[in-house]
Amino acid sequence: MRQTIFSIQDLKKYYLVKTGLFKKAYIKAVDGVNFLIKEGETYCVVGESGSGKTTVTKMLLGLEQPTEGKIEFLGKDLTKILSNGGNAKDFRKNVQAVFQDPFSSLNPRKTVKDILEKPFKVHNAKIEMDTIERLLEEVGLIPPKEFLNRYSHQLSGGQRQRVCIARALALKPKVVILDEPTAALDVTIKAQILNLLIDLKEKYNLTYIIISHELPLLKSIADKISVMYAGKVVEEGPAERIFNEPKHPYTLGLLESIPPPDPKSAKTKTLPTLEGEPPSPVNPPKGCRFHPRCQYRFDLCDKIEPDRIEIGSEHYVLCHLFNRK
Amino acid sequence: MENNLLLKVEELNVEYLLTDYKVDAVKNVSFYVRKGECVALVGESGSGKSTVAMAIMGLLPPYAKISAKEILFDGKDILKADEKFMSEIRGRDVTVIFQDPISYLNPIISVGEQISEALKAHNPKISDKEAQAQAIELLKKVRIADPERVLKMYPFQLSGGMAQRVFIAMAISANPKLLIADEPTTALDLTIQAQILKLLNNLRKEYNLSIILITHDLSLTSYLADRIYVMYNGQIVEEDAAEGIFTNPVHPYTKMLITSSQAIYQGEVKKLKDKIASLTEKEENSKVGQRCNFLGKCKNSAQECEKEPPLIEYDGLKKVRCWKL
Ligand SMILES: Nc1ncnc2c1ncn2[C@@H]1O[C@H](COP(=O)(O)OP(=O)(O)OP(=O)(O)O)[C@@H](O)[C@H]1O
Ligand SMILES: Nc1ncnc2c1ncn2[C@@H]1O[C@H](COP(=O)(O)OP(=O)(O)OP(=O)(O)O)[C@@H](O)[C@H]1O
Ligand code: SF4
Ligand SMILES: [Mg+2]
Ligand SMILES: [Mg+2]
Repeated sequence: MRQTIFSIQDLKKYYLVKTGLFKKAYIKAVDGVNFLIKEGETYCVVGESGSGKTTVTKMLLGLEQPTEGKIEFLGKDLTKILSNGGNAKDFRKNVQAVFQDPFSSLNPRKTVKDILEKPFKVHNAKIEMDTIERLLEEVGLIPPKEFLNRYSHQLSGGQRQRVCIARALALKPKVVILDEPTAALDVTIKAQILNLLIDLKEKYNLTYIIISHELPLLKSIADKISVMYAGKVVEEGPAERIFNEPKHPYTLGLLESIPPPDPKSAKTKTLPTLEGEPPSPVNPPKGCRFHPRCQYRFDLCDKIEPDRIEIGSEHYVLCHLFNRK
Repeated sequence: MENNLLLKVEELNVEYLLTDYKVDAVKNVSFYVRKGECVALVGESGSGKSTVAMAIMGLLPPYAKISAKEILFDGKDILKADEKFMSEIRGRDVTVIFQDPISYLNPIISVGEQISEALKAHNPKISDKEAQAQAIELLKKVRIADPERVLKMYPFQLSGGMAQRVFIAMAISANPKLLIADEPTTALDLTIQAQILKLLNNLRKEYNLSIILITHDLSLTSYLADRIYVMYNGQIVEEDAAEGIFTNPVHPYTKMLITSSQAIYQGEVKKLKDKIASLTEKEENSKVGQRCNFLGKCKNSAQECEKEPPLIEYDGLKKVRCWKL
């Protein structure tokens, strides 16, 4: 049996925000999600913008406190791990992250060389002469010498993103959490980065948690996919099932919106769009959160919240259509 | 000058002068945008796309050296214009959706105030109440849930895709003549991306808005762009109507882009491995220059490729920078 890396149960994160002079409200950024992430797996999370994906990763990294729920890392409670200095340091070495916004996650006063040397220094790891240059080469920043002494604002968008990826992979961690890792990259570099991730995984049995809205790209790498909508995971399953037998109406809508890379169909075809209002994270729609936009909804949908239903091996869906009771 | 021409860039060159060497970011780039037209700049990461945008906006850092025969905007040479004139047209006649919206949003000012400011740049007489009402409308247009609440939020409280949409809202608020959209949808999920594309297309029809779409995603261009300029290493290597780029790519780099996009779309990234490996072996900048930039990665190369190819008309329709036509 493969080891469980992260086990997440009924995780919630509510943010208290001002909505008026004296009024406050809770943003239900993440509202009860479960994940089971196994060693060596590429676990992908897709979903609406604002559905809580980044918030989940922040909690996994211990950067945000869950409002409710439990996160276990290798069977141990994450808050306990993080409260012990030594364990916390180990955790930080083994669980690396590439944040969604490469621009603000690089220190503007440090050169690329400083940025990439830092993880080695923090963890007292030896830096070989050419380690840093090799890292840069692996992410396609070639020739490395031209980049070593630059500051992050002296790089293009995609180059910055690649420095972040190189930094995360520097210490060959166990787990890498990547939030939109290739959003700023052109297709050829994207393919290169993906192949690098695949290689490293094969070599070192890494576990990846990848958040991405680039569904087509996930076809090449994902083992498991979770689809989030309004703070909930509405569908979860093995990647090939999600692509070939998607069940949840939101997943269907998402897959339909994948633009084909050829213009003949594009220009003439109208873009499929999901009509209707995006869900409010403060007052999410009652019953099923997707019901106002769902073309399959029926009388139950705006009254009762659907349960998580297993509809195949490791394939779960949150939708009344599949409740056979 | 053709009288429906809005922007004409002739022989633009940009160098970044760093302490130890210089980066030739943009080399001899010429292009034009008609009124109501959408022109796309596509190309690899680091090929100079954002630099072109910044040059037009007059926002390059002081250590960048810019030269051009002319940059005509609405009949006026903005290369020779003073900063006062530039700051007048920026934010009013020309707006830009920056590639890294978060770092251009002011972290200590609420979303509502930032949008109001943008609205006031365009229309100083607008009352606060009116500005608020318009801000809400704009946020609705970019598909943000609970616009009234979001107006009171600060940038750090937004998800990546929300920040990007707030920026889009600001950029279109002024009803500009030209919108430069630098990777405008990288943080958006596919259903919202589709809606944003529709929105931009409607603005084009309704207000005769011209758009420069900078993107690495060819599928985006197929919905929006009339003409495409493909950039590689600071140069334009192929230009044509959008259809022509897709149906009849001629430059080896363009061909590579299209096959990579298709492979990614089909989930076959692994197949690209060898092709990409050769492509990403970059030569030192100093060695390039006299010869074809693509030499070394090109299967078709011949003797004459040791000299730099000019951008030549091909087939009467497109222009291609390649000796072997
Ligand atoms: N620090 C914060 N304070 C208040 N609200 C927050 C904060 N961080 C996130 N939120 C809210 O939580 C919700 C989920 O945000 P999150 O960043 O997790 O979304 P996401 O799924 O990553 O979206 P995207 O794809 O756009 O990045 C959003 O409504 C956002 O405004
Ligand atoms: N401020 C700067 N100082 C020095 N070099 C820079 C600076 N900005 C960009 N460059 C370099 O100029 C080249 C072009 O960069 P630019 O940002 O225009 O690329 P891009 O085509 O927008 O790439 P991407 O798709 O990755 O955003 C790159 O090699 C980059 O490293
Ligand atoms: S529960 Fe009802 S409204 Fe929700 S997705 Fe299923 S059918 Fe649609
Ligand atoms: Mg996010
Ligand atoms: Mg750029």
